Amino acid sequence: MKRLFVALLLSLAICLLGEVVEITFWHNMTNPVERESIAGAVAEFSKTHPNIKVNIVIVPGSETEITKLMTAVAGGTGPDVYYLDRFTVAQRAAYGVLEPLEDYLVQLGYDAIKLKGEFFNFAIEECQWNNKIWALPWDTDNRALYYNKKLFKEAGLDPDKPPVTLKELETYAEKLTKKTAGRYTQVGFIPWAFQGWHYTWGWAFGGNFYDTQSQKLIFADDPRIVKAFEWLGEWAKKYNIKELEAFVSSFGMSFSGASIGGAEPINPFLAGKLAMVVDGNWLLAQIKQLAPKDFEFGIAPIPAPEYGEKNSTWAGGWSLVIPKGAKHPKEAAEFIYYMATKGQIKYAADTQHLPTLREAVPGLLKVSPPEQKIFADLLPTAHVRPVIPVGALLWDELTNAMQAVIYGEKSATEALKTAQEKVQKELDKWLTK
Amino acid sequence: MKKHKQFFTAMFFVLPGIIGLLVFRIYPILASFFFSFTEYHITLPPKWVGLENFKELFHDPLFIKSLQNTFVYFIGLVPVGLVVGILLALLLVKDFKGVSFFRAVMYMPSVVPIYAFAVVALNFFNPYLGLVNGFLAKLGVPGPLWTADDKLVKLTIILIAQWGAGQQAMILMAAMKDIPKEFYESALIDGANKWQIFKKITLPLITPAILYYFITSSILALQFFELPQIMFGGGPNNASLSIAIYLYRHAFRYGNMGYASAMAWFIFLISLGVCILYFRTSKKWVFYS
Repeated sequence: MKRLFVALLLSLAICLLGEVVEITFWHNMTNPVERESIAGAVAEFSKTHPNIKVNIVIVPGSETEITKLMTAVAGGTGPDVYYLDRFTVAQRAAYGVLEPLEDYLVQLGYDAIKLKGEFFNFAIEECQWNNKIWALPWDTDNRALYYNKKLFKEAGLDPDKPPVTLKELETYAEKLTKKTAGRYTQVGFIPWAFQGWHYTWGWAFGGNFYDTQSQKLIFADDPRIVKAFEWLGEWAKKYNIKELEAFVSSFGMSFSGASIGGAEPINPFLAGKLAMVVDGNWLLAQIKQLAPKDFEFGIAPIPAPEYGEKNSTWAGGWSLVIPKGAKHPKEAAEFIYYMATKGQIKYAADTQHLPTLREAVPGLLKVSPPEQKIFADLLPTAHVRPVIPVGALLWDELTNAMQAVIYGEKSATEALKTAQEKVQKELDKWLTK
Repeated sequence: MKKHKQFFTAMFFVLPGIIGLLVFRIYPILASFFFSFTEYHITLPPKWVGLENFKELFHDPLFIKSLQNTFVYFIGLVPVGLVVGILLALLLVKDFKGVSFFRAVMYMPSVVPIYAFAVVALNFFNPYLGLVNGFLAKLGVPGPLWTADDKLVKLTIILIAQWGAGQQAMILMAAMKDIPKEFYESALIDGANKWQIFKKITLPLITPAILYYFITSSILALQFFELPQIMFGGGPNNASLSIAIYLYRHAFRYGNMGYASAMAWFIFLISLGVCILYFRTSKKWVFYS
């Protein structure tokens, strides 16, 4: 009885002082370091914003599969803030899954133009659709070539001279590959393994995938991207794609993207069986955690042909959005702004994830190993995947095309043409709306 | 008056079941039929497109590939499963000491969660480290690249799928048990050999069970999803992509519910056609006592 009375009094006091709004925040960061950093940022936010209470709900899920959110939004039970794979922002905005964040930010008195300048171009570019901001960027990542210095020495290569041109990459890879009894025991390089995606090589070869002006996909007509795919096909033929697939499958990996059986694969690069690999900056943390003590590695830009782009890389990452039908969109926008700015500074320092906020970079570099700087320096020129409402389909179709080429099923020209026609047809459906 | 009351009391108890059936089965089936004629993205209202989705199916190279793959699964899984099932049933139908133990063992794999099984199977068929190729190497045979070869991967899956053969073996065994002993006795007196007995007595008399097996296994094969999805995600090079996996991609990755619904109805129509074929021909080969 007494308790009830106190509770009543308290709630009365809150009512008099100003209403406390509760907002729900769904994210999928189950990793303890990331989870605690988020919780810490939320706690700091509540100190400065006593009228907004944030309920964190962890909703495990993968990047492009957001069935839970879609059904929750359709059923009117969605959260106020959602953690969304940034390259799908345009898609979700077009599909009507998101509230226009920009409108709420403007209502709160933020200057949209000034706000855009606070983030790296690529990141804020991905957050816009139809000239409107639908999300604020969260962390990011980018890609480079990692190589094993010990294996370089064993093969008689200079461990301080990573390959720069494609020719060098090819000769190095040959020297670093070992085969006994018809089986690979060590492989120099597999271009499409880990982060060696269609985009990675397309951009390294200096190609363009999408023309923003005409809103047309142009990769099949770009001779450089055709060349990149042909190069992948030649590589697969030379080393025999099936034997390479068998080699990686003994680590629980597969080129089709399925980590076999859903279990975390063993990384053949960390195991010292794959000498060079294109991978993201997150590999740094894994090397620290999982690689043997005497593991020596170097990082270099992704090798490119003479006519290609030197130091090319591309960035992915996450963002914060307000799903459609959120109960408190204004408070959600306030929270998102805080997280994308102050929250991100803390998050970058806590987790060593690359930030999209320019101001957060120095804090990250202070705490992370020196190699991180190589990745941070690449951020201003990083590419992003085409900002279109059919980004996931484009990704999968490019992957299908790449696989058809490396498995020798189709020529590069044919595979790219099929993919381009299919995705353009879907894209046009959205553009006429 | 009393009858009325009884009726309502009965309805009251049946109602949860009926509501469940209507809400979770009938409604989604009807809704997907409607959505298959629309462009529907869950959060936007559906837009009527007529037969566009169905026309699109035949212009989508990946759908055609998945259709071909599903066809291979169908003509592989159904007969191979039948042969394995009959062989197992022939072994288990015999009455010897401890046979019930073997029957239980044979059925056990069907109880294992498919996910756990898929992971173990992948390790068995791993081209470099797997048990199967290790065994073949002992025999001096170079093992094929089971899971890594896009030409072999469907065969690998069909072989692996036989782990569930205990289920059909049980049904076929039960049918064999129903065959009167006198038939066998008179056949033995007439001097029939084992193969003749099997061909002339056992096989014709279990045809009703075989019909049942054909129908259920064909439907399952046309909707084949778990093994290729868990083990290969449809790869390598989409060689294991079934219609059901492709449907799943469209529904939950691209949010194309309309197109996915069209695929679902396409599978249904094929299943229906296959079942009609079985029933039409059943008069010729099924023994109805």
